[in-house]
Formats: sequence, C-alpha cells, structure tokens
Amino acid sequence: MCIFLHSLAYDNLLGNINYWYSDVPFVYRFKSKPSVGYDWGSGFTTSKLYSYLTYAQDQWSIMEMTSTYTIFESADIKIFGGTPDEVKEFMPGFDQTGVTDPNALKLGKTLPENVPSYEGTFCHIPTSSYKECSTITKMNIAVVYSPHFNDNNYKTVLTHELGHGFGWVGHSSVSNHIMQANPGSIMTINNNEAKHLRQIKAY
Amino acid sequence: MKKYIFIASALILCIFVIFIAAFHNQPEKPDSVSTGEISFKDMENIYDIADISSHIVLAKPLASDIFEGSVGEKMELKVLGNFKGETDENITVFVDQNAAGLEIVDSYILFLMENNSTVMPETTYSITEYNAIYRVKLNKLDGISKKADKFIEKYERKKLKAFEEDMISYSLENPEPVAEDTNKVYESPADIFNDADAVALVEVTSFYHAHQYADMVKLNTIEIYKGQAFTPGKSYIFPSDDERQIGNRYIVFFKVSEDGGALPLTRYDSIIGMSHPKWDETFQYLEHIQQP
Repeated sequence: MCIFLHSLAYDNLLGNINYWYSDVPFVYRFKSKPSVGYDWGSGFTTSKLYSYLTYAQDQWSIMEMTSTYTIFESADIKIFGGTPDEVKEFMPGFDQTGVTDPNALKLGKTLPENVPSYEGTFCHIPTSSYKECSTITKMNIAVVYSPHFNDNNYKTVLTHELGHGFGWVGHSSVSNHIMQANPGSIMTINNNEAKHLRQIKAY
Repeated sequence: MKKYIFIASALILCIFVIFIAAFHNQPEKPDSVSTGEISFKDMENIYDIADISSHIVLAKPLASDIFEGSVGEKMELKVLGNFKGETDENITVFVDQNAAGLEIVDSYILFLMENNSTVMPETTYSITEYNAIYRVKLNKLDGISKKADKFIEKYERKKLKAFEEDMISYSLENPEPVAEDTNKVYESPADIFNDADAVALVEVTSFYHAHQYADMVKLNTIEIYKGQAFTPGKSYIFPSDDERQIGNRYIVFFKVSEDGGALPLTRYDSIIGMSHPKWDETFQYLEHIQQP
C-alpha cells in the first residue's frame, strides 16, 4: 500500500535528466516539432527580422533543436517584431513605453499563447530534485525595435527568445550562457544550454 | 494489542513516506522570479526601477483571469497607496503566469508601467520588474524572490514607512511625463484630421486575431489624405472586431511615433468602418478637402 501511495504522491514521473541550467524548476516542451512564423510592424524590415531569425535557428539547430518555417497565423512559435508601442499591443504586459534609458529596454519576451498543460515531473539526478514539465502548443515571441541596438544585439535577442520558444522557462545563471537574463555580447549558445533543452525534447 | 501497534506504526510510516515524497515533488522556490524577458542592462538599485516606472503602488489583488493570447493573468487590484503617480482606486495589471506569485490574501508593492493603449478599451498596467515585487506584512516588505531583497537592503528593517517616504520623495523629484489623453473624443472630422499623423482610406487584405483586444491587420491603401501610405505587408494593430473580414474598408486616423510606430490616434473613432455612424460625415469631409 505504501508503495502505491508513494507512487501516487510522485505523480507522473517523466524520467531522469542529467543537466539543469535554469533558475526555475520548470520547463515547457512541444510534443512535435514546432513551426515558426514571423510578422512585423514598424522599425524592423522583414529581411532584417528574417536574418536574425535564421541566425537563431542555426544556433539551435546545431544542437538538434529545430523548427520549420510557416506563415505567421498558423505557426506554433509566432515572432512579432515592432516598436515598443506596437509590441505592447501584441503582448499586453510587455510594456516598454516610459523607459527613459534605452539600455534599460527589455528587448524580447516569450510567453505561451495558451495555457500549458501539466505533464509531470522529471527527476534531476545530480541533486535529486524535481523539475515540473508542461506541454505547450503555441508560443508567442515579441521583439522590441530600438535604434540603439545593432544587428548582433538582435541576433542575441532572437537566439535567446527562441530558446524560450522551445520551452526554456526562467534563465541561466551561468556567465557565458546566452540564456542569461542579460547576456550582453554573447551570440552563441553553449553546449550545456543545448543539453538543457535537448534532454527533455519530446520529438 | 501488538497487532494494533503494528498497524498504527505501519500507517504512521506510510504517512511519513507520502509526506516526504510529496515534499520532494514540490517545485523548489526559485532564486529569482524569471520570465522569458531579455535586456541588456540589469537594474542596479531601487531608483533604476523607479525611474522607468510610471507608477509605484501598494495594492491588493481582488480577482484574476487567465488572459490567452500571451498567457498571463489579467489581474484586478485595489490600490491602497500611491507612491509614484496617481491611479484609479481599482486597476488592471497584466501579470505573467507563474512569475509574480501574487495571492489574493496579501498586499504588495508593485512597480508598474501604465499602458494608455488606443487599442485596448481601458488603461492597463504591466509589471516593470518582476524582481521587485514585495509582499507587505506587519508594515514590512518581504521580497517574493531572493533577488528582490537586494533592492531594499537600505531600508532599516525593511519597513514600509521608510520605503514609502523614500519613494514619494524620489518620485516628486523625478516625475513621470504626463501621458497623452487617449480617451479624447473629437467633435468634428476636421479636429481629428488635424491631430492625426496619417489619414487614409484602407482595405483589409488579411488579418490575424492576436488576442481578445487586438487584431493584426495588413492593409492596402486606397486613398491617402494625410501622411504616407500604409506599407503593404506590414501589420497594423487594430482593436479586435469579430465582424472584421478581408475586403473591409476603413477610414483610419493614426499617430506615428518618432521610431515609426503607427497606432490608432485615440480609443474612439480613429478607425471608422462603413457601418460606423460617422462614416458619411467623415468620408464627405475627406473628399471635400481632397478637391483642388
């Protein structure tokens, strides 16, 4: 009886994982390979936004996190680039107006489009802690245009946000990781960051 | 007797095992309250956060709804105190789900950004910095993440009074610019025409329902009355409309910001469809001014 109750208390254990680089014990994952679509308002040109996204896709595809392109409306991961005023309408709660210091702008944000469904927990072996996993079906990424930032900055932003789009919740605390909240000039993903997502990939 | 002791011991052991298992299964308390945001500058002190906030309030959550489209909570709060700016008694704040940890039983210090949107039907707020949310209990501040505490170390015993006095004083010296009046109602087409940066007759070529308040609309410009044509392929954000269809025509009055952002000029009568009561009057006015 004890064993039965014990297993119930552990609910749905999804398996063991070996790496963890997020500052929160949550992760999202798609059940099948997600498609990506992008749209733009003002500030970005379509070719610029596409070039940043292609760079970001290349970064993650090296580490076996891939996606396919499709039109924005039907994409699993939707990326909208626009001015701060436009982005806050696309993603309420991501308001950058009133920011007097352009460096204080948050340049990107990722949120699920609909409520993630709880899937279970992974056991993280090195510390025997538990990491909650939810299934996602749609993610929205908002990217803020600012003339104070350059192409390399936006390659960093898109790579970082696409990591969130693939399911990375929270941020890394490791200094050379692009998934830090403030990655500075880092433009490439670290092998350990890829492991963080690759180990829980469901497709 | 021994039998009962054995059964009781077994039950106690079971409860203990279940308790340990359930405890282990709880998510750890995070070091920080992280969302999926990226920035190129860390907030170093409480004034950095105050500077970029339009409002600082002490508020108590009243109710919360899931907001689909970019999942978060659309939270209604009762404002108990204003430390920067003035809000209504009840406000709506968009909060990332999981990130803020706001509970209806408690009161919180929140650093907010006001959104005087012309797309949404009311003024709303967003959280400026998730690592600066404080639960207020017994007149003391308690950061809901570990990182939050570093911003209030300067206040002796983290007292609410010390924080309040400091923030009110700082905000008086560094006031937020007065926000534009997005509720303005224009009495005549000439008035709204004068205030708009771009005025045109447009046709919808495609649209996407982003969330309950906003549609992203691609347009074909039929006639320009002021400013530049609306760029084909680019998405413009309109208030949502369940009856919107491809081919719909609108007279639009838009404001264009310095960075090129283009949004409806005000909440009312900036997007006039053919069934709108002001269509005839507005269309006749625009046709009239077009004539040489």
